[in-house]
Amino acid sequence: MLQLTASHIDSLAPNAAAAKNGRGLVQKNKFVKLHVSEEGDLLFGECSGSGKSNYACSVDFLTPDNPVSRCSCPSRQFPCKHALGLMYAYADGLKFEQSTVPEEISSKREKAEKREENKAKRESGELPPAKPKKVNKAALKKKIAQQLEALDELEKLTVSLVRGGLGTASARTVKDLNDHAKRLGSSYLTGAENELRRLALLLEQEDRESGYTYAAEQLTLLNAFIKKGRTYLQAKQEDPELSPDTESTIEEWLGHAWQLSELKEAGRVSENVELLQLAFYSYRDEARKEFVDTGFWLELGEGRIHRTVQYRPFKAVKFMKEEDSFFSVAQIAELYRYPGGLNARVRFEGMLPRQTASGDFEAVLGAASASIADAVKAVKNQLKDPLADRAPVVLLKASRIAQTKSGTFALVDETGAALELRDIYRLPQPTTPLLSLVDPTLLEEGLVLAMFEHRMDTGRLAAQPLTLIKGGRITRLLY
Amino acid sequence: MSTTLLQELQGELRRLYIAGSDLAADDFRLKRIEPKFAQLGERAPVFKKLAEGLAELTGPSEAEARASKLQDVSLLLNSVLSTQGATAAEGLKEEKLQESGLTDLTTAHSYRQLAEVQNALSTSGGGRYEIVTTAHRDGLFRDLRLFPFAMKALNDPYAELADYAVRYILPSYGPVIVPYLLAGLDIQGGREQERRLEVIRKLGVDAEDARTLNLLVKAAEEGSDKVRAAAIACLGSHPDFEDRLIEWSLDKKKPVREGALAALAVRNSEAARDRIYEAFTGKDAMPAAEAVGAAPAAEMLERLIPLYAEKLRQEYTGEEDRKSKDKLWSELEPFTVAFRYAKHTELERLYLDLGANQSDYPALGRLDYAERFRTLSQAAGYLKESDTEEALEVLYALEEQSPDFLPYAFHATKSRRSPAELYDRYAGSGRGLLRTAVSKKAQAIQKKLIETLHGEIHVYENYVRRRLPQETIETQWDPRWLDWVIDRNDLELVSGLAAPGHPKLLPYLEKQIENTSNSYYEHYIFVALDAGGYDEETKYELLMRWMENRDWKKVYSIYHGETERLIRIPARFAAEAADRLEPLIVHMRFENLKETMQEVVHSLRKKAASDE
Repeated sequence: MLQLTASHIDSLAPNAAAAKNGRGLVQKNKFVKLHVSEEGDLLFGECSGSGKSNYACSVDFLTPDNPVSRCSCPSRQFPCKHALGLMYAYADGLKFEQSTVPEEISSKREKAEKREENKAKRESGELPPAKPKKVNKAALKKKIAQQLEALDELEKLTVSLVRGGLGTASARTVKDLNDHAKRLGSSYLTGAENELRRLALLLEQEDRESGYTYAAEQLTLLNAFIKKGRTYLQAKQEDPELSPDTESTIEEWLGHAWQLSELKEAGRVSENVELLQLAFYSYRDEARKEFVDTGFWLELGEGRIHRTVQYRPFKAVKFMKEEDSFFSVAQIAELYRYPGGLNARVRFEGMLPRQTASGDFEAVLGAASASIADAVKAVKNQLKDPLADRAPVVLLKASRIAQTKSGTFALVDETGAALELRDIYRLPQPTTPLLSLVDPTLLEEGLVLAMFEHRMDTGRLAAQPLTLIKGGRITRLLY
Repeated sequence: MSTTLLQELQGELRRLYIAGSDLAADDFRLKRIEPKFAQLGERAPVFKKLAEGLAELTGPSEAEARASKLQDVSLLLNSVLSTQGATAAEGLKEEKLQESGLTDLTTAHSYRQLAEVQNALSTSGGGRYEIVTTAHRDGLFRDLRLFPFAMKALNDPYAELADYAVRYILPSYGPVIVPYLLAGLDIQGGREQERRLEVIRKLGVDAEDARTLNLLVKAAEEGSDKVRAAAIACLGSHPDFEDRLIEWSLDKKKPVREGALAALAVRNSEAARDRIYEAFTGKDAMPAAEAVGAAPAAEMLERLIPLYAEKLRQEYTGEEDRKSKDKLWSELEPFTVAFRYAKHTELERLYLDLGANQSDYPALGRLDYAERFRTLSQAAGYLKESDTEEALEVLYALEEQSPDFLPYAFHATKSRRSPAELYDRYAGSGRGLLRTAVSKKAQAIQKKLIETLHGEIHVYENYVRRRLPQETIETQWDPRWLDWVIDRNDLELVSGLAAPGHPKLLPYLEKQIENTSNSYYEHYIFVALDAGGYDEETKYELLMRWMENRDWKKVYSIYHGETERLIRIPARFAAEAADRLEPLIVHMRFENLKETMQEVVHSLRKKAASDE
């Protein structure tokens, strides 16, 4: 029998409004018919809308980790509120009539099955593989040449900016930078486009002093990117057969969006993985012109902390699923891992939720670093590389969290070493003020998930707590 | 490794980034630190590399090359510095952290739930009030992570939202948040700080909490006017501050005096009462009255009631001009304010006497009608609730004097007499019996009675007027009322009082249906039909007649309730109903209306089909 919990349905919803509206449909008794298939793997029904005819909607759990919703309504959101309402109705224990699967859906199921079969056959070599994408070598060469040229131009721009000094930057400079960024984008350097726009934003910042510090840092970052990018592209130009670098993040910096198939080919897939989300947040990235939903997940058993990143362009916000905090364990058949450092990005296509159990918390405990020194070393090792992720996240064991005389907080490990906890620039929200409000027992012999950031102006490596964990309790300070 | 030196270099390079690399040539500050790097470079190759870079940066070269050099040196330096970041914390305190008192707050909510509220409280724009109030009702503010935002709400640019936080959100956390409210207090501030203190006053301050009290005293002494008044008002419940409060109640500034009087009313000690009495009889009568009105203590009332009686009894010999009338009212008005929510047997006695023997109170006679009515209706309002025979008699006397007091007497009668007696008194005898009132006075009485009935047969829920439950109508109202209101042709009252078993009801409603000018009263007619307990067929037939009778050319919309009613038509009539409704569509002029009716017809057809 199909098991559905409200929190699982919430996590399937594309956004809070859709979930709310879905619930509303159940409350207002808008569902005219509710059916469940004999096998219990398909919910379908009819929901009355504003029009003459009812919407026929269904949710297919043939593959339970990736339910497929269908609806005759014109919404571009999947699942739409009707499909969500159908699931809420089921979770609420409303009466569903057992019926046979409608023909319409069984034919769609057959088609999907056939697709799967073909895919399997292709993989096993029974069928000729789908035509490999032909790489147009001439076009690729042209593209690389264009990228190299754009890099040169970018270098010229930065050099002239450095020569004149940031102090002379005006609204005009900002506009030039933004215009140039646009050109980079059309020369296949979308990564550089975003970073240049970020520089422009820093120069626009109201707090000039801190703006300069970060702008200078951003300029050196662009310098590192130009150099590394140029070497990489030149190598590629000489040997167009060269497969993309799957070990470093340079491809992403250049603006490459990894396809799952590419990651699979490079062997960056783990099978049957269980992830537990420890922290989540979403922020507006003005440079990317996107919302970025970021989740930090612990791979149970492996002890690595992964990151999920979902970009939602401002323009497409209405049509994309807004991620949310996730409180169960996600069971994942195939986890695709991107190249990266301590918290490499991961992606998965579907997952099954499972309630957390005490064993999971043992795994969490096992994954935490007992020594501040070790953790800081790993963090610094990553920060050394200018193109690496600037804000690594680490899970630390704390023998206690203490207050300092100046009123700040520090994490003390079992050796007595102390790590100062501070709010960092890269997170949208402060969390340290909450430390004085939480249950003090959480601050003794617990775990802390912290994000690090090096502050160029003070020369300090700051760590901001994201989540406190003690026993079976996860206290998220962010989301 | 010398981090200070590296950090110094970082500062210098940052300076060059701002000033421009063109100025790096022969930069003497860089030249000064270069040898230090060269020296360290003998042991560590990184320093050597930096020293070389610095030499090239300051030495002779092309301008572009110099810029690139600055970028390169900076890149290397940033990488090195990133490995040198200090993490240690100084001055750790050994003692454990204090329990905040907010530890029962949860962190169970998800991003989507929280972010909506957090956004609402950190931006401006429409729709935020609704989000925050819903979140409060759903208990979202029990989440730890919204607490800082709840505090922030005090400073919200939308004053209603800030006031909502003061009234509901922040008090829900309990007195533990007082220290947090005070920690952010700026005693020179304005409205936001006043709100903080208002919350503190609501929550109350522990008499043992010396730190909080000291802060409040400081705010009361040194703050801006608003802050002073609000801080003083917080000190009412603490005996130690009585002398200070009395002192403040004599302050030069009016807000300060108001705050102090409010606190003294809460204090309610002998000395406090003396001071309030003094203010009441002096120039601060209104502030003192407001203070007593907000916290009416029995002891205080005992001193004011005789004074009120005395003022009312005072004979006046002077001329009756505007000035003297105003003066009189300015003496009496504070009492009406102070006794707004007061309950006291003495007060009841005074009101009874005032109502019964008005001639004993000459002051009353000298007031203008509006003021006299206000004074007497306060008395009537009190007596209406006191539920005694004596009070009822006085109310009847007042009612005799002016129909304006009828509602009070009616209400009191209703709670002390049987439904039949109520009817007999107001409608079953004398003037009430006449179908059309002749005299002006009779007309006024009847008008007032109908008005009163409107008020009595409805209950208010959150500003929404609802019909009384059918059971209440049938058991607590005399059935003759229905005939009475039918005779007076008040459809709304008929609908409100409708009950089964009235022969006059159906003909009356049928007549209403024929009357096309009634087109907006559909709701009342059909509620009355439902309440009258008629069978489905009658109701169906009347509904159809109603629809057919309407002048559809003039109707531009149809209420939701009306379509619902049509859709609820029993299945056995559905087919016929669809056939009768469909021809009406051609008469309609508005697309929306046509569509809606089309839908209704459609769903009726479907209903009929599924019934077969």
